[in-house]
Amino acid sequence: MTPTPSDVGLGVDVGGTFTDFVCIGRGGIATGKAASTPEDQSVAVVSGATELGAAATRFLHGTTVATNALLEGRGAQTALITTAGFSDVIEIGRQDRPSLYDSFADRPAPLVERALRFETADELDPDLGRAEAVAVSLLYGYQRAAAEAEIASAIEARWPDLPVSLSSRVVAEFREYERTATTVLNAFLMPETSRYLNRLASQVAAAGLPTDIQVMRSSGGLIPIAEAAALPAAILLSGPAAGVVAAGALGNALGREHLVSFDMGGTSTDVCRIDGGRPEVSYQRSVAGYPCRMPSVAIHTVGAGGGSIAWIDDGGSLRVGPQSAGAKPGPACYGKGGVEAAVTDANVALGRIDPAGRLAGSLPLRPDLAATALGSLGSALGLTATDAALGVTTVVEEVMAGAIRAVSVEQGADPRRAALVAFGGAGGLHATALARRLDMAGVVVPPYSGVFSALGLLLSPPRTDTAQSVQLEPGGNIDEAVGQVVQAVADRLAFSGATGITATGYVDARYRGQSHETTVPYRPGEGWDVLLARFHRSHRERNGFAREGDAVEVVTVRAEGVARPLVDWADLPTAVPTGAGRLPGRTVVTSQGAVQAAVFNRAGLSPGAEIVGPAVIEETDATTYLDAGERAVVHESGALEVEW
Amino acid sequence: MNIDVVTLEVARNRLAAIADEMGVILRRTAYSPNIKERADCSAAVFVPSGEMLAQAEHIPVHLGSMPASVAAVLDTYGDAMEPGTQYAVNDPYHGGTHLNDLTLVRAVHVGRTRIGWVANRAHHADVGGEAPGSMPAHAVEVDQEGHRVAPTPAVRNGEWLDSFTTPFLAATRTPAERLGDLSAQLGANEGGAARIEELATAMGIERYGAVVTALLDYGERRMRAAITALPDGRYTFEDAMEWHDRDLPVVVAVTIEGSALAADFSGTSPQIAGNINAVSAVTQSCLYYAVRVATDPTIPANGGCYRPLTLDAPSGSLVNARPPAAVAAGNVETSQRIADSLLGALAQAAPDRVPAAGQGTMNNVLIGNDDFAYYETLGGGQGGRPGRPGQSGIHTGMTNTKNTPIESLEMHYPFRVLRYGLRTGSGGTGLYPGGEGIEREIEFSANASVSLMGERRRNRPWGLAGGGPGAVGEDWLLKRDGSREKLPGKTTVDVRAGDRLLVLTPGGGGWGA
Repeated sequence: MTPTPSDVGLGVDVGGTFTDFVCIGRGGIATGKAASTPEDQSVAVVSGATELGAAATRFLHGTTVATNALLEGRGAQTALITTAGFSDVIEIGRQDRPSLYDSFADRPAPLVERALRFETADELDPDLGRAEAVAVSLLYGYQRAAAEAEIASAIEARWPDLPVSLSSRVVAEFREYERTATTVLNAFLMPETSRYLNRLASQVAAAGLPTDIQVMRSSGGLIPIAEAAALPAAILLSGPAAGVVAAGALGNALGREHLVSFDMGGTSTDVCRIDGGRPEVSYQRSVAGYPCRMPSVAIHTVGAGGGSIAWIDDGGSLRVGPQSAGAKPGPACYGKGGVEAAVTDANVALGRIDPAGRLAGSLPLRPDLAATALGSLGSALGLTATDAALGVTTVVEEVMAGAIRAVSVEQGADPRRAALVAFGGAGGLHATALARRLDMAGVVVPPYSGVFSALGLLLSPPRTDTAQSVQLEPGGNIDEAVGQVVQAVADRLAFSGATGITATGYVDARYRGQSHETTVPYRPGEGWDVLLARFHRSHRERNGFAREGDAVEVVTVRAEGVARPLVDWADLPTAVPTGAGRLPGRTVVTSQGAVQAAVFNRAGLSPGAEIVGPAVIEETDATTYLDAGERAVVHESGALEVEW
Repeated sequence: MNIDVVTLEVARNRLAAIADEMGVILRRTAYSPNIKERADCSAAVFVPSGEMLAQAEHIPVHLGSMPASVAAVLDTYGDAMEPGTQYAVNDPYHGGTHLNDLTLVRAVHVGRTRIGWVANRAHHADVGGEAPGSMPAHAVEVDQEGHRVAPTPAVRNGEWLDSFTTPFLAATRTPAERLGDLSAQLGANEGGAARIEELATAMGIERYGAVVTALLDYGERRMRAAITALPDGRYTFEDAMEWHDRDLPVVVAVTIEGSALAADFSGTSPQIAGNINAVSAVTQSCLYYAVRVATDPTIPANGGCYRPLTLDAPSGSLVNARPPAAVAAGNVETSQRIADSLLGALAQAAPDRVPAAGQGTMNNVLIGNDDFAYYETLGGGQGGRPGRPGQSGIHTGMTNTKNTPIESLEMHYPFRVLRYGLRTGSGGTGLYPGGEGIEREIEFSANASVSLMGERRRNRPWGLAGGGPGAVGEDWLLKRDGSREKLPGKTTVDVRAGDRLLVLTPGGGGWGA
């Protein structure tokens, strides 16, 4: 299907193994996949984009460039300038150690070596010239923007090409360690990220593709490419955030208020809670052990995926993950030399993945090797190979259930009212078992689930986030403080050409003496009475109690601005069935034993079709498994809605 | 009943998740920074006999002492226990550690059958006594340190009993904050009990009982496997606590025989008229901690893995105090030395797992006057490790609480931090040097009283395998008039606005020559 040639959007999401493409114009949608090119992501991005998106007018991008630079230590030689007496804050951190009992567990090494930590003085240290990037983070830097800017000017005068990150611009919030660490992280990632984005921009232009490139930020919206280059700490969750946005958009289209997104990949699984179409946002997370105080969709990750390896510990218990077979050698059934049983091997052995099927690279799967691996696992446990396979799925599902509990029950949200939105290659294989274990309201398997993050880019709004720490008590000028940040995000969006702008103000408030804040919305003009009532109520919901007589303080004001996305879910073309819906059945091992199960080709299913388990629904990159007693109905969007 | 490995692993995950969830409820609903941000709390699930099944632990010193609290409740109330009742205890001589740590214990029933226990512990910032913070440096008897609660019914059917709350809240200087934290503790136990009940009901009581028995056996198997991997022998070590100008010996002999390990503290100093006495539950925690460090830290902490361990701590000694001795610093400082001595012994059996001595103190600093009370602990050097240098400016041993951000504390307290950095050269020399201590200098803007409770001010943290010792800690009062006074490690002084306090924390010992 070819998109029409006006106002065509191209979403390109880079993953570890594949780079995914979705191109949408009026009335048409096309999807594609290419092998990622980790040494230079832009190679796969540009070649695939040229193939699929020649007609595109908007280029929306999810990238792992910043994340990879951090994980692989390919950031810049970074220097830090800070207030005299405090240059080691970056190393001391919060004084705590990462593991109570493992003396060999290290805090991640600071991204600035000691010799490149400088304290403020009259003159810049000549050694600063050795650095490839500089972070400036003064004590109380969040209210000393002018002092930090002055240092930046002095650096620029002497080393005009040295990129500088200022804490007052990157994250103007109190708590010196987290602010400094985030500023340093940003400086560390800046050269590599901007090199990549500049290269991408010039190659995209050379290929005649749209130069209006926007990049997904961790908070679930798009920013102009130049902003991403200057704020790489804000794009560390670029790809995963787009998948969560897509799940939220689909939830809206289905009229479902409460969702948990469930993205199960090869080595890990990401889950995130979405209420009323808005993914839960957190303002602080850690990436590879480094604190990053940037708004991000509140994804919780566990080290369990299709490639997770099953093993037996020295107490004789069956464990699954976090060790993964990865793509090479991969699970035993890939026939690439893997001998240990992985979750995928269990699914092949149980017939839930077609044993006669092929890998994406078109190599045939090797069910015999999966059986051998599970056979030796089983014999060590006194189980048959089939029981070992069932055991592996049961154990990995318990691990993933823990992740869903972490984003729901543990945050005071009831999973029983939420539907699980399952995507990623293996999501549909385990979703119903998981959802039933947690007594959830249902499962939704979206269409385009193999390229879901790329689709999410097209559904994502242009977005700006900002925050400023303050110290305000009832009676203080809250309207002015919130009004300023709200105006700032609205202006920035308008300036970038976005339309349909909504800017929302928030405040971080707490009872005086508390060390943690509760974030609540605030609209200038509402006044303190409204704000306080809202704070007490929200505090009660999140923390189980409120103290209406206690003094309250506001310590940070925030704003998020979103604009109209390129497309809404309703704009997506309705799925038109292609090919046969029904495929030959096969033997599948369910929770009740081996049975003959119906098998369906997802692309051939019409809206309204109903499928009753035990059944398997296959598509190019993903499989959905329905156990006995589970029913799926095909929604007009193409989504499968499963109940039991 | 035969329990298959899949059920076992699923149940292990599930019970760990229930303990974690209790810990999360506790922190989420707590009021005070001490629990919320510094995470000075723990939660655990037990079998009916009182053996621990799973624990959400944030602080090593709670490891072995949680079971002691359950045992104390079980001993006191036995089968007279009512379903739905929660019992409170903080008495160090009945299952507690020091008075600040208050534990709530609740039995879990299905119908009338007791299927286990849940318990959680939180450090309460003030429980009365002769000084704010309930750790008066001059105390010689426990009742000077605060309000003591022997196991007593505290909650019935989700409601507080006045017989517990009235005297407790009357004793503390901060009753509103206490009630906030107590409510979090109550809720954590109710939540945990509901989950256990749900799980046991779904599995069937009999099967649940068989599964938890199998889980304890599993823990025991893993610990025995880990101990068996260590060479048999008797390993001895002597360290010391600093008490005014005396050194009080802490002596241990660790015997490894097959899959069993015994620690004998004969030869350790008798208890003293001061507050550095540790009760046996603290020593038990140190033993569990040291063994986990020296063996396999991934072994899940359950009662089964402690079965192969025995502790012999002479009654009336520094490591098994008898009433009415004061104990506040026994929990925060002596615990560090007990752990050091055990690790010193275990290093001989597991030379590739045990680092040189870490800073061996928490450097407790308490500042206050009539208007405010502030408490902090400071990190220091980790000992050099076989194959890797020690980390700098970090908490080691029996604690792991976070610091308070400077930009946060200066908002509320009348002092200013002038310097917070690493103490260059304080780590012990060696192939793998010890980590560096911290230098922290603060300037007071109001008159106040400062109490210090620190160790390793005279005896340097030891090196291993030929590595040099770390630097001792130092505490200085820099007066406004320019004079300097070196302070003892344990003292209370009055300071005036404009004076400064400089604390230098110990470095870690080095590893290897």
